[in-house]
Amino acid sequence: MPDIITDSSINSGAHHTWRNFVKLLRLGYRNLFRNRRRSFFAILIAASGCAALSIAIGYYSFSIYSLQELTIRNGFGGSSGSGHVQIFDKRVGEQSEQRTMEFGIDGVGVLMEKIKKDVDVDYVLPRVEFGGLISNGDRSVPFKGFGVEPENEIRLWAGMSEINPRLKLGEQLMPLKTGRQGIILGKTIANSLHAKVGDMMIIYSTTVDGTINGVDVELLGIMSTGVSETDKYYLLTNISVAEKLINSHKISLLSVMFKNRKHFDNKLRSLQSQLDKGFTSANFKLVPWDEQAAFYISIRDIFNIIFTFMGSIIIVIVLLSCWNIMNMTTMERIKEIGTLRAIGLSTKNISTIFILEAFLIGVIGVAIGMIVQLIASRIINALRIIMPPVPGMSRPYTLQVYAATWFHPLIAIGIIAAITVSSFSSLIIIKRFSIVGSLEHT
Amino acid sequence: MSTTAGLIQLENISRKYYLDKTEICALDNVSLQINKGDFVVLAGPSGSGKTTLLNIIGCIDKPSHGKVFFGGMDITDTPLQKLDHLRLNNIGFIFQTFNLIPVLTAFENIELPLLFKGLDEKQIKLLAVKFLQRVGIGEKINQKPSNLSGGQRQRLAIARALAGNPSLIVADEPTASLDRKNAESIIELLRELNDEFGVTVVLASHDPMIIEHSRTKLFMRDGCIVSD
Repeated sequence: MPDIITDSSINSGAHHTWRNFVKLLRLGYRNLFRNRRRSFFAILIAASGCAALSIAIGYYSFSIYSLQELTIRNGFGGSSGSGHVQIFDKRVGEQSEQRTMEFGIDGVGVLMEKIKKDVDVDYVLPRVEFGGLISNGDRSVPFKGFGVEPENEIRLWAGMSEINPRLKLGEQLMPLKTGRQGIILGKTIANSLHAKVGDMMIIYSTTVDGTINGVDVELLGIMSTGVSETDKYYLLTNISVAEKLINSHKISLLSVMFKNRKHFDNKLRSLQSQLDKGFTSANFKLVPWDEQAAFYISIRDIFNIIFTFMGSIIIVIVLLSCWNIMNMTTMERIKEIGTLRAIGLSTKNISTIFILEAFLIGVIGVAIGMIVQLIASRIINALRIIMPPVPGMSRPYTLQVYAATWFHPLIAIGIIAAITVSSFSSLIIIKRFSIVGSLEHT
Repeated sequence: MSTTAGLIQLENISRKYYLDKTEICALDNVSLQINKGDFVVLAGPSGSGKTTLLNIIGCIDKPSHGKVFFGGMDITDTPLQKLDHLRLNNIGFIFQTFNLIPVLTAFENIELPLLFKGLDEKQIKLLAVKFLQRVGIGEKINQKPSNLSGGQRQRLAIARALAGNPSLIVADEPTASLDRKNAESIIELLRELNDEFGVTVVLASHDPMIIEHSRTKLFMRDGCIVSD
């Protein structure tokens, strides 16, 4: 028997080693089986919250990624995707052009070869933007035209099919590959001209010399850009037709597609330095895709608000539900808490048991929730649910949910943290009751 | 801290508490000394202050007035939270309703406080087996309390209290939930352990059988020790 009671034996804290922690964890785990129904509900709440949040985030991630790719590959309505980065004459946007193609890029072949040498670059798309009138002989309407190289442009557009297999955007450009001198018109502008595929038309525009020029073209296709407003003026043609119309070999811009968007800033810097080295006199400016994606940014901001709000509500519901369950659990075990304190366990040790219990509920709930969301995501993706068009667009899209994003570990941590925090109510109860009060509690 | 002789020394302690603004005096100017190896029974009717006195002796409650010495050290002003370690190392508790942890086996119930004493697994196993065998339930080592009878549960509680090698065992009505036969064997066991290990036992009871056979009896009434 201990003979001497010392100051240190009174004041020193209990041993709290890793071994004790494991034992407390085991005790916490076993406590889950005391009131199975209550533990089941706590785990169910955690699992439901985790699954709901994960699916919502999966949908959010798909939506955001789709919008980004749509901006890059299709430009929100076929007004030509921006590519990952666009190269302009640096005066574009800073000064006004006094004549057609005043700020156009000349000697584009050399420039393109130089850019293609960058190991990160996948392909380059020269573009000519022009405006004018289109006439079928009876009627003339204004248009906004885009001269493109069909080969790579199809590749750019077709990339959307990887995200949404329902979108066959690349196929819409196929008629431009026929080699015929033709155009593709937006649905609304074609309707206003009562035009049908195969009709002959004349497009008029201002040349670089300031004169009006007209070119006979065949209507090779009619397409919906996905944006009703754009369909009213949209015209797409081969870059050679555009050059013939404006009487210049200059282009308006070059779109560059990297192989992927990883380390995007580094790739951008590398491309910029390559351009600076080779074309010091050219004075180009590089504009990354997101700097000219006002529509994407506004939708993203709305989504961020919606999903943050929704996520917060789910977290709060999980927190409050588990708070309530942990409160009930603790109140039922007041006497046991008194016993543990009487036999020498500190409030810190006892609190650890309750925190670990809540932590375990969180871990088990999150594990189940993640499995549920994986299955649910697969089912949702397999069902190919058609969603109404996003604001401003006319094209519906297929609902998809990404089951694994960098948000998902954060959700898991967030749910576990919320449930662990819910056990703090237990700590308040543990502190509130005296040892004697706890032992007398019935 | 001042020191004094005896394992426990109480000097003029009172314990008052309030019940709906009414002051209740559970202990009134009680003084006593309990020495190492004593076997003391606190006797008296319900409400006489036995449990309150036992709580103060067991360092789970503080007196409103007076001084408490444990192992010669004045612990009157030491907050209860700081006495965790003292209880862990020096005091074993036996409760009327056993107060075992239902999800833990007999072995694990004994193991839990020992873990926090810093004993290694080998030592814990030796102690648990030794004391479970000593109290006569060695074969129940892996059973949970729900699989034990009332008498076996109290034996387990005694083994838990003893395994920590305490200087003092505090038992509050340890036989109140047991039948006569079990009650007698539990008291007999406590006496044997008191003799065998020299552990001081202080128990509260109003069972005449226990009181009759005790060496040191303190009779209480209305918060005072009226005779010994």
